Amino acid sequence: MLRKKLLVIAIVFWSSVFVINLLRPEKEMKTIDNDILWMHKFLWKNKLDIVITGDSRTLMGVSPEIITEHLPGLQIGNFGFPSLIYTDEYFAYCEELLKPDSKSRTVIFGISPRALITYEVEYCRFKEWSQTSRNIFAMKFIRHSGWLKHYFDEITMKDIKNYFNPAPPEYLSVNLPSGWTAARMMPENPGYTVKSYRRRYQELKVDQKRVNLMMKYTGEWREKGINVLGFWMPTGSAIYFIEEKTSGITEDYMKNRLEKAGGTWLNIDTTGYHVYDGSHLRYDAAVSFSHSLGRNIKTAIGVK
Amino acid sequence: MLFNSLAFLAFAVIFFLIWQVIKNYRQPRFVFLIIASFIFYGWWDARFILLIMFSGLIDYLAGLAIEKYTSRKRFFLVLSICGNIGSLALFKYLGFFTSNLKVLSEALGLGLDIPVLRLALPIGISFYTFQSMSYTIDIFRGNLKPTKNIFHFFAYLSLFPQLVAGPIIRASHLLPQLNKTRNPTEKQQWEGIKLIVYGFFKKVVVADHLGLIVDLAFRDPHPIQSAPYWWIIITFFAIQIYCDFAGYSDIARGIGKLMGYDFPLNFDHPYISRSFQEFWTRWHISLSTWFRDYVFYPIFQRKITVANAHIAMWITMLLSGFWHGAHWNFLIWGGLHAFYYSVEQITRLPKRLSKIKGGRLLSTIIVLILLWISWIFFRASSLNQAMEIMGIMLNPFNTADFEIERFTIIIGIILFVAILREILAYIGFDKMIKQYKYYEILETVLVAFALVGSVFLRGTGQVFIYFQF
Repeated sequence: MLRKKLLVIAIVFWSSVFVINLLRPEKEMKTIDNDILWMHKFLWKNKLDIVITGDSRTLMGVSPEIITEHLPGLQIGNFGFPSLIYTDEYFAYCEELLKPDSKSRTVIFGISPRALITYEVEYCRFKEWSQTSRNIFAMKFIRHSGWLKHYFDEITMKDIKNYFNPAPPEYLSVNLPSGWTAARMMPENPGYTVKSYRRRYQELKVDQKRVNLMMKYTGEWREKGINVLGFWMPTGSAIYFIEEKTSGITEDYMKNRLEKAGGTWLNIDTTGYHVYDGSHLRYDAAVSFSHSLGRNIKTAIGVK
Repeated sequence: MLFNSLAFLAFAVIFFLIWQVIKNYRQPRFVFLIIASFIFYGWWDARFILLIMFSGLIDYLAGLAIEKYTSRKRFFLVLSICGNIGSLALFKYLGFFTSNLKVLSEALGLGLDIPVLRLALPIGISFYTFQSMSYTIDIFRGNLKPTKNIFHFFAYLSLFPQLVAGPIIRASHLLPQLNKTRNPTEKQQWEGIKLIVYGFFKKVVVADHLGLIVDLAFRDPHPIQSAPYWWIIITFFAIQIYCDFAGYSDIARGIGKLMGYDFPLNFDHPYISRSFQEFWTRWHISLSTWFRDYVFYPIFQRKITVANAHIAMWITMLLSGFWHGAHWNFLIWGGLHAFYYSVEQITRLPKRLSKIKGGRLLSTIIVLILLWISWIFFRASSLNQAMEIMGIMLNPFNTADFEIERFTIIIGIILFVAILREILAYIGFDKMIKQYKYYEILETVLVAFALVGSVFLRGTGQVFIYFQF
C-alpha cells in the first residue's frame, strides 16, 4: 500500500513539474541565475587581485570585464550585493577573497550612503549566502546543478500575470561571472526609486559606526600592504541631491575620511551617467563608467 | 543544519542509507546517532557541541550518582540543575541581567561601571537543557532508572530531529525506544512521510510568505497608524509562528517515525481553543507539560489551595515567558497569559459562555483576540515598539490608509488554505472525512499537492523562529 501511495505522489509531483514548466513564461534573460551568482562570488576566496565592494549600485554599475581591459592579467571581482549593508563580516570576507601572494591586492569601496545606514541586515543576500558559503561542497553542488534548479523555481505573481497577459519584461538583467549584473528597464522610469529614497532618509541616517568600521578596515589593510581605494558611486541627479542633503554624509566627507584613514580617493566625474530607475546605471552607462574607473585604478595602484 | 536546506537533504539521504543497516546493532546505533546528531548540530557552530557534551556529562553522572548515593541524591540533583540553569544563565541571560543591572545602577545613581556581557547563543540550548534536566529529575523522583551506557544517554540527549527546536522529549519516553531495534511499519512510514511533507508546507509555504510581510511591518520605525492594519499583521504573525514552529515539530516527528521512534504531539490546532486552559494543552505541548510537571505541580502540591494554584500558575507562566527569551517582552507575554488564565479561572467565563447559543464560538473569538494582543509582545523588537503597536491596535479611531507590502493573490490563497484547515478542525470535519470511502486516495493526492506546493510556492527561506530560543 505504501508503495502505491508513493507512486501516486511521484506521478502527481512530476506531472506538476512538467505542466508548470510547460506553462511558465520564459524566464528573464540571464546568463547565471541570481542565487548561483551570489554563491559563485563566495567561491572567489584567495582568487582575486582586486575586490570591488558595494550595494546594488556597484553590482550593476561596475564591470570588472571592462576594468580588466585597463589592468590586464589581474583577477577582478565585483563583490556587490543588493541591499548590502557594510558590516564587520562583509569587510572580513572581502579580505579573504584576495590572493595572499598578489602584488596588487586592492579593495575598492563603491560608496553609496544606502550601504552605510542604520538598518537591519536581515534581507541582504550577502548575509544569507555567507552562511551557506561555509559549505564549499554544497555550494559547488548548487553551482553545477543550476540548470536543474530552474525547473523548480518558485511560481511568482509575475509568472501568473505574464501567463494571462503576456507583456515584454520590464526589467532585464544579465549576470556575468565577474560578479557584474548588467541591467536595463523598459520603459525606463527615472523617478522609480526617488520617492522611496526620500522616505528612507527621512527615517534612517548613515550610521557613523559603519563609517568608522570602514575606516578601521582601511587602516588595517593599509598596514598589511593592501591598496584601499574609494569612489562615490554614480547615481541619478535627484537621488544624488537627496543623499547629499539628507543621508548624513556627503561625497566630500567620505573622501576626507578615507584619505585620513590612509586610503586613496578616486576623483571620477560621476555626473551624466544614464540611470534606468533613478538609482542604478544602465548597462551601457556602466560600461562607460567602468572604463573611467579602470583608468583611475590603474593610476592609483601604479600598475604598468 | 536547517531542515529546509539542500545540505539537510543530502544529510538525510546518507543518514537513512546507513541507518537501514546500523539500526539493528545496539551500540553502533547509539554511536551513529550521536555522530550524525553532532554533524547536524555542528553545522552551525561546532564549538557548541562541547557545551552539549559538558552539560550532558554532568547529567549523566548526576543520574548515576542519584541512584547510587540515595542519601545525597538531592545534592546531585541540585548539581545537575545548576549545571543546566548555569549554562542557560551564562549563554542566554547574562546580557539581560548585566544590562538591567546597569540600568538599575544608573537609575539609583550608584555610579557602578557594569559591563554588558553577551555571549553567542548556542542554538537550541533551551530545548536540550530542559530535556536533560527532565532526565535527572525523573531519576530523583524514582520515575526512571538511569542508563549506565553513556552512548545510550547521549543518543537520547542529542537526537538530531528534535535537538534544536523540540519537541522536548522526556527520557522516560525516549530512552526505552532507543534501546530497542525498531522497524517502522508501513503505517508509521506513511505517517512519517505525511508529517514531513505537511511540516515543510507549513514552514516554507505558509510561514515564510507571511514572515516577509510581518518583518516588513515591524521593521518600519514609524508604525502605520491604522488599527485594522495591525490586527491583520498580528493575524499574519499568529499564523506564521504557529506554522513555523508546528512545521518544525511535524518534520521532527516525521523523521522520528521513519526511524521507528514516536515523538509526542507538540501542536494540536491551538487556535481553535475555547479557553486559555485549552490553549495550553494544544500549544507547544511538550514545553507546557514540562513546566506543568516540573514547576507548577511541585509549587502547587506544597499547599493545595486556590490561591496557591494561581501563584504556581503565575510563576510557571512567567518562567515560560522567560524561557522564550531574555527580554522584558517575553516576560510580559508570559504575564499576560497568566493574567488571562487567572481571570478565566475566577470568572469561569468559557464554561458560562458554552451554555449559551453561539457561546463556544464567542469563547474562541475572545481567546484569539487576547492571544493576538499577547503576540505583539512576542514579536516586537522592543518594549516601546510593542506598546506603540498595542496602542494603535486598541484605538479604533486609528484609521490611516494602508497598504500591505508584498501581499499577493498567491499569499491570499495560502492564507485561505491555512485558515480553512483550522476551521475544518474546529467543526470536526477532519475526523468525519476519515470515514469517507476514498479517504486514502484523497489523502495521498493532498500529500502530493502539498509537496508540489512546498516546491513551487515556497517563500524566501527563513530560519525557524524557535531556533533563537
